Amino acid sequence: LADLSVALRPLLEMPAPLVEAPPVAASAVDRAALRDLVTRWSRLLSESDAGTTEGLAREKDLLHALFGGAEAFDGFASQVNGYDFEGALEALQRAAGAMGIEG
Amino acid sequence: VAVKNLSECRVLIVDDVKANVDMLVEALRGEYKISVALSGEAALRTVEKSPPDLLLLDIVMPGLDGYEVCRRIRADPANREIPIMFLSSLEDVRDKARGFELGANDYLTKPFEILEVQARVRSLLKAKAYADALREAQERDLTIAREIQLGLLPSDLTGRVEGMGLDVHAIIEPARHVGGDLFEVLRVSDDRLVVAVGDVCGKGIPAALFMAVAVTLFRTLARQIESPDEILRRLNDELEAQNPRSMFVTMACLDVRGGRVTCANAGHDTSLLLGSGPPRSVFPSTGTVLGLFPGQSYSSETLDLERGETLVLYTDGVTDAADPGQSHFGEERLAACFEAGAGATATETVDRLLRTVHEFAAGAAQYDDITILALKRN
Repeated sequence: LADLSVALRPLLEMPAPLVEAPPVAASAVDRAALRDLVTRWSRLLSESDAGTTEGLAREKDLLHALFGGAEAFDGFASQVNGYDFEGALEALQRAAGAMGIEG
Repeated sequence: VAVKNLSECRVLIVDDVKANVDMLVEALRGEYKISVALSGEAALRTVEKSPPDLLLLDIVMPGLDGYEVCRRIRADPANREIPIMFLSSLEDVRDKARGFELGANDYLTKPFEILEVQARVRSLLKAKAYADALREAQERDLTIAREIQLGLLPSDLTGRVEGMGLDVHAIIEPARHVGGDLFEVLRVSDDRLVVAVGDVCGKGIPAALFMAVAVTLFRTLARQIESPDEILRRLNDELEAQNPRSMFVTMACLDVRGGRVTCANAGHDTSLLLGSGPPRSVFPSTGTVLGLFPGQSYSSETLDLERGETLVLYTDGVTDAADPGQSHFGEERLAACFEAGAGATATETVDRLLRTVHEFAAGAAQYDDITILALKRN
């Protein structure tokens, strides 16, 4: 054990490797905040509000959490940036429905 | 007048070319709320869900073009006041003229100067904000006028016939905020009741003002004069003497003592007598309308209202009520409504007729005031 301890010491003293923080898991996000997000975005998208293109960056974390990952979020962002608000609204409501959130 | 802050206004940009939209969004961002539709169809859906304060509308688009979008928006009465500015590469004066004919407020040809677009947008939004504010102020005034006008009419009718063996109920439904119909139930002594239903020509504020004068004069005269024909004669002369706009009012005036009912009728609809038999029209007009010609005289007729019988007085808003196909309710439907007799109470009688008229109209616009009064002898 003493030999093993000596052999491990340099390894234990090494700095831990940097690991990128995983995206915020939906379960870890306040559901009330997500519900509020869905309500707000549903209204803005049904008004075809161009301000949503700026909102994408502002509320990226919550939207990521709602869509459950970068890929789905990117698809949604592409619809918003392309002014396809009806498609974006459908995607938002699908994502909300999958999480059992009513907007 | 509270005018809407322009930063609260929503501008809907409709263009199928995203680069054009991007440029306009950038030019107007921060000043107003911006909505975008990339097709005519999407624009109409957006307008329906959330009517904007201004439309910037391209003309040449696949599917519905801008002209058709404009035409459809203007066809909906709710959207007739939304300013529309065409932004188009079509420069021909005939294209512009067509746009204005379809209801556009402005037309700018591409390529345009952003500064000019911004200035025109601001100007159109300002004009709409002022027009909206004025309309809202007018609506508020009319709502107050309605409260005042309805306050002129008697509310506690039951108390007015207490101890007379009579049951009375009346309703009035103005076609606009204020109208020209009137009714009165006046207890002038222990055993005498004077009842009137009237209809001033026209609608809106002028009719309401004339109605207020007529009902006030009627109250004064009915307390001083015994016979309904004389009440109408004096009322006609008083109204005619100060009537710069040559307005007039039709009126049926009833004097009720026990079961004996005497009526003088100045150009008003007949009344309906509901008893054991089929409904019967009674009390036809016995003179001309009030307020137009001086020195008119009126005769009167008398009938005995038997116990259980009901008299129904109404204005032509009942018979003239139209359904969506523009057919009128008419006197046949009015009589048919009471083929099985009157309601058990005056209130039931009035409610039945009003409900039948509403069912007939099926949501069609009401163009005339509706007044119904039922008087039942218990």
